[in-house]
Amino acid sequence: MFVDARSIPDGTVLEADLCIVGAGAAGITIARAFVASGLRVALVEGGAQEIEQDSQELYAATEIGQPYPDLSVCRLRYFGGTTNHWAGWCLPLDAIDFEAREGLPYRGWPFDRAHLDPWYRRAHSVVQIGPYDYSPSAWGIREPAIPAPFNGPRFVTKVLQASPPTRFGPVYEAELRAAPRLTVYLHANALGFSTDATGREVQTLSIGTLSGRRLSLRARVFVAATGGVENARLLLLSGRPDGNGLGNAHDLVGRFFMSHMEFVGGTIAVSDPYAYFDFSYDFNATTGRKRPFVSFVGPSQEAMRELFLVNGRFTWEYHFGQVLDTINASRRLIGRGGHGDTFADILTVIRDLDGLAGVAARKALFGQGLPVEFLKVRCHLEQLPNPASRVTLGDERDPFGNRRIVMDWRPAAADKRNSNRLLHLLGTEVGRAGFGRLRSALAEDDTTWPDDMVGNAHQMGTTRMHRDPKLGVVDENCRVHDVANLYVAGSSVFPTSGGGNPTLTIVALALRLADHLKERLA
Amino acid sequence: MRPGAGRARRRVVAAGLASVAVLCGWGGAWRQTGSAGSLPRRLLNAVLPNLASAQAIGHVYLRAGRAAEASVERLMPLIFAGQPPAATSAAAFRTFIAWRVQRDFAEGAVVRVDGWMLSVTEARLCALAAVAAG
Ligand SMILES: Cc1cc2nc3c(=O)[nH]c(=O)nc-3n(C[C@H](O)[C@H](O)[C@H](O)COP(=O)(O)OP(=O)(O)OC[C@H]3O[C@@H](n4cnc5c(N)ncnc54)[C@H](O)[C@@H]3O)c2cc1C
Repeated sequence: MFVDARSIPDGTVLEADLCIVGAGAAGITIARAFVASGLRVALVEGGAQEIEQDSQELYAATEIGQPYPDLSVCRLRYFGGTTNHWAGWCLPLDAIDFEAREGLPYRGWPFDRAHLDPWYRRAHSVVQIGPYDYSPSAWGIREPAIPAPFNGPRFVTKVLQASPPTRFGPVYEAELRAAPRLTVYLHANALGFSTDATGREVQTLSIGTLSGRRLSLRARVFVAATGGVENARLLLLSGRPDGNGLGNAHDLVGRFFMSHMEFVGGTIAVSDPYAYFDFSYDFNATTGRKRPFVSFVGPSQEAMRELFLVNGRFTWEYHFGQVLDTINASRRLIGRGGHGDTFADILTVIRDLDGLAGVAARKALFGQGLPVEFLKVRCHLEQLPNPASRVTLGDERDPFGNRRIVMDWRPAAADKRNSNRLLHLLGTEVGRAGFGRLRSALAEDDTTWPDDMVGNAHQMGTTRMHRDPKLGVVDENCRVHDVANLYVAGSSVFPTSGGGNPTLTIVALALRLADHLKERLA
Repeated sequence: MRPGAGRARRRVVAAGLASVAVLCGWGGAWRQTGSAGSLPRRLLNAVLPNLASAQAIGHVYLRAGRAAEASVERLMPLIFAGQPPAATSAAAFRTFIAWRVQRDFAEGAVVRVDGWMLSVTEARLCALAAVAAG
């Protein structure tokens, strides 16, 4: 059943066994797990079924750190959440992303990747993608087609799978509507959780509508699933009026905010003009159809362990041309385009030095079309957990009188060093293999980032998971430490951001949490 | 043993000894000239046929605070790691340089030239092209 909260009389106290706040990827996944449970489930959604300006405005925030995408634009505050415009790229985190690692602080999930595998597998059908296999061979990419050095040992080629992309609202609406004991409340904005006198048990969720109604909801168990930033805000707004929020005894809520850092990391002048690797694009030029996957290159787990690196991935943007015929034109056009004045000479020199060995074979494989001149290296890198990178509550208030978010995104010197070292490794490996030569776009210092560096809309870490309450807001079951019946779902619980896009992991964790809650509420 | 294989091996060994004889005394070896020109010239012809590009890169490399390397006498031993080349055919040069470049990258012996990450050896070869041209 779907109910517009604006139609419920002011002051009503609603009841449920399980209250899930937020109907995005995480919230809808948990709600679906309970459709046949016989339990009373309330899915409390702030927005409507379509985008509405005043609801979207509730997401407005102030930015004080490294420039970050406008939070009132990149997040969507209506039924289905941000999946209403996500791109759908899916990739599980690597085993190494879960590990505690010497010399790299704040790392380590309470469980390993193998533990999460069963839920990752199930998450695949939720986001409507293919088999739980990310090796190139599973997607028809033959081993010989992968150019060295991207076939190991330092770098590996993997794929990202493409969800249609699943719009969780429209795709799962009918199923939720048909569930006899599940109610989706729309226009129902969660304003904060209230606890008993001990502060250890949530009793009610207060709800407001922008039309002015105030409701409350009692439940046995509550789940905050309002997104990677808003989960922290909701906890900070909750608890006793004189307190500093729920789950925040150790001043961790809102800290460790992480995004993935994206920028053009440099240019590779390509020795082998037939090094075009078609799988880097999701468009299949031969069939004229979109592929359900795209390939990328990342550091191998062995290389990360040996060299103390953290994760990231590189994708290529190919630039084609007839170098030998147009070398002077290249000198004029490209020389001023960010590759330095020496691009054409570098290309000539490395093609002389690296020789033409292997070119004939590659030409046979990929020889149609123009030869490759250079490729741009797009970086999508993990941000290290950093307590100073955080979201807090500011002085500005929303129409409910609740304090808005202040975003202080801070990629640190360690992130810059990791980026430089990854690019250095890439440069030495492409040179070693005779693939080409890299011109890094990164300054060799610890602080400056390229002008095009952005954080993407992956918001992680603000209610991180750790068994120790001094190091994490939630425990290994995603329950807020010291609060018996409050859980958090979404990427805010990620202790590390890893190399993968977050939504598949969000869904896997949501399925895992649902299993845990089923046992608890049985 | 295949018939004739012994003779072929003897010829290879003889050729090897001849090149060592020509080159003994590394200090002056690079000056040896023959019908194919000086050693640096033959090296460059073998591995960097497009000299103009190599020279352009070489000048950038030397200008970045490496004036001390700007002579054939200095660059040849650096390129050959102090050891005279065992063989001086074009093919031998190409094999040796390919191996050196690969090893440089594997060992992290790289330099940035106008931002490009080059192996030290290939950058020095370019410098050689620049200084050999005068
Ligand atoms: C342009 C773009 C492209 C992306 N592409 C990818 C991609 O390719 N791959 C990938 O993995 N990820 C991608 N993402 C990220 C992805 O969208 C998110 O990871 C995912 O939607 C997060 O799910 P969630 O359920 O945690 O949060 P959301 O989907 O944001 O859902 C949160 C829900 O909570 C509701 N809500 C918030 N506050 C309240 C409140 N106080 N009371 C009641 N309800 C509330 C919201 O209205 C919303 O419905 C992309 C994001 C953007 C912006």
